[in-house]
Amino acid sequence: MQLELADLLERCHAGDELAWEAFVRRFQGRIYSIAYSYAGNPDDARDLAQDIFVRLYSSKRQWPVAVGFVPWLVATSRNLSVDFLRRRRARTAATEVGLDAAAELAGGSLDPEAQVTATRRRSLVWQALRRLTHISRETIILRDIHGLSLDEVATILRIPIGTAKSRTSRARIELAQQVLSLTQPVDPPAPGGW
Amino acid sequence: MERHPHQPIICRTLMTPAERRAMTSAVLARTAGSACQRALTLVGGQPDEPLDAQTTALVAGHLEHCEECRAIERTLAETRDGLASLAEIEPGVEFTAHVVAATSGRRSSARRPMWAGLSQRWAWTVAFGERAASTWDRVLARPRLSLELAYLATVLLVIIIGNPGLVADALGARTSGLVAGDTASGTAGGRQQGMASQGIGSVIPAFVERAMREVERKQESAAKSWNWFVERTSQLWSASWNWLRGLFDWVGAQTTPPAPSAQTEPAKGPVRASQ
Repeated sequence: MQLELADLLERCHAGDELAWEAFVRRFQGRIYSIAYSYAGNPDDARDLAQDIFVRLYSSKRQWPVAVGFVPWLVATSRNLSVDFLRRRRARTAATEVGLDAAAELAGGSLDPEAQVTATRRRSLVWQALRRLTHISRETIILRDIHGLSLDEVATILRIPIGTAKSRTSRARIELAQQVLSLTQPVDPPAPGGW
Repeated sequence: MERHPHQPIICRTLMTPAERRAMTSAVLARTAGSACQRALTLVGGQPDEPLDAQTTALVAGHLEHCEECRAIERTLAETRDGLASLAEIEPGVEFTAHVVAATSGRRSSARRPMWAGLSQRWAWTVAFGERAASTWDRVLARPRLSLELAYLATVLLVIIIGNPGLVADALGARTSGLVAGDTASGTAGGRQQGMASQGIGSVIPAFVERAMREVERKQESAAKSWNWFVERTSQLWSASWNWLRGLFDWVGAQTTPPAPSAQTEPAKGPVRASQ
C-alpha cells in the first residue's frame, strides 16, 4: 500500500527517514529514466540520478505541493541533467548509447517472450531517440515519455505553446523515421561490383 | 484485341496503379507540391490536436495512396505505445540504498545545526562562518575558477610586485646618486644627475643648492617609505595566503562526507555539495 503523495511529501518535510526512503523508491524509476535520456549510458545515468536525489533532499523546503509536484520534479531533473551534460561536454565528448547497453535496461513484469519483444522495442526507440536532434529529443522526452502537458513543456523549454506544439509534431515524425531507418534491412552490395 | 480510342472507360484501364501514382505526383509537382509534409504534420500532431472528420478523411485518403507516409504513420502508432513505457526504468536493486547513504550524512546537519545551543552572539558567528563556507564551496565548484584565480593572481602580482618595485628601484638608485654626488657608482641616471648637480652648484646661489638637497632628501625618504610599503604588503600577502590555505583545509575537512560503515556499501559516484 502506497501513501498518498501529499502525505509522503509532508512526512519528508518533517524529516521522516522512512518517508524519504519511500520517496526515493517511488520516484527513482522516473528520475533514472530522465537521467538516462540525457546521460546516454547507465553508469553516468546512475550517478546523475543519485546527484538529483541529493539535490532534492537538500532543497526539501522548496518542494511544491502535491498537485504540481511531478511536473516540477521532471523539470528539476531535466535542468540538473542539462547542467550535467554541460559539465560533461566541457570534459569530454558525449558517448553514444549502444544497443547492448540500452537493451540491458530493466523492464516491467511481463512474460519472457513479451519481455524480449518489449526490450527489443525499447532499445530500438532509445537508439532512435539518440539519433534525434537535441531539441526534438527533449520534446519527446518531456511530452510523450513523461506525459507533461504542452503548457508545461512550453514553460520548461521557455518557448511559446504554438512552437511547443509544432516541435512535438515534427519530433514524432522524426522519431518514426529514425525507427523505420533502423528497422529497414541494409541493401546487399551489387554482385560483382567493387 | 485493339481498343477503341474513343471509349474513355476502356482508356482508364490502360493506366496501372503505379502509373496513376506517377501521374498524381507529376501533377502535384507542377502545382501545389507534395502533400506528404502536410499529412505528416497532421499525423504527428494528432495526439495534441484531434482532427475533424473532413481532415481525417483527407489524411486517410493520402495514407491510402502514399506508402511512405503509411509506413511512418504505422511506426508512429507503434512507437507511441513504447514511449510511455520508458517513463520509468529500474536503476538497480542497490540504488535506493546508495541514495539513502548519500543523504544520511546531510540529515544530521539538517536537523540539528552546529550552532544550536551556543549563545546568540556565537551562534550568529558560527552561522555566518557556515554560510561563508557554503558560499566558498559553491565558488570552488565553478568550472572556470582556476582560470579566474590565475587571472586575479597575475593582476595582483603585476600591481604589487611588478611595476611599483621597478619604480622604487629606479627611484632609490637615482636618489642615492643625487645625494652622494657619486658619479662612479650608481646608475647612468644617477651619474648624469650628479654631474648636473655639480654644474648647477657652480652657477646658482647656495640657498637654491640647499633647497635642491632638501628635495633630494625628501625623495630618498619617500623611496624608503615606498620600499617599506612594498615589503610590508608582500608580507601581508603571504600571511593572507597562508590563512586562506588554512581556511581551504578547514572547509575541505568540514565538507568531506563521513566514512561508510562496514554494513553499508559506499555510495556510487561523487556526491556534490548542495547549493
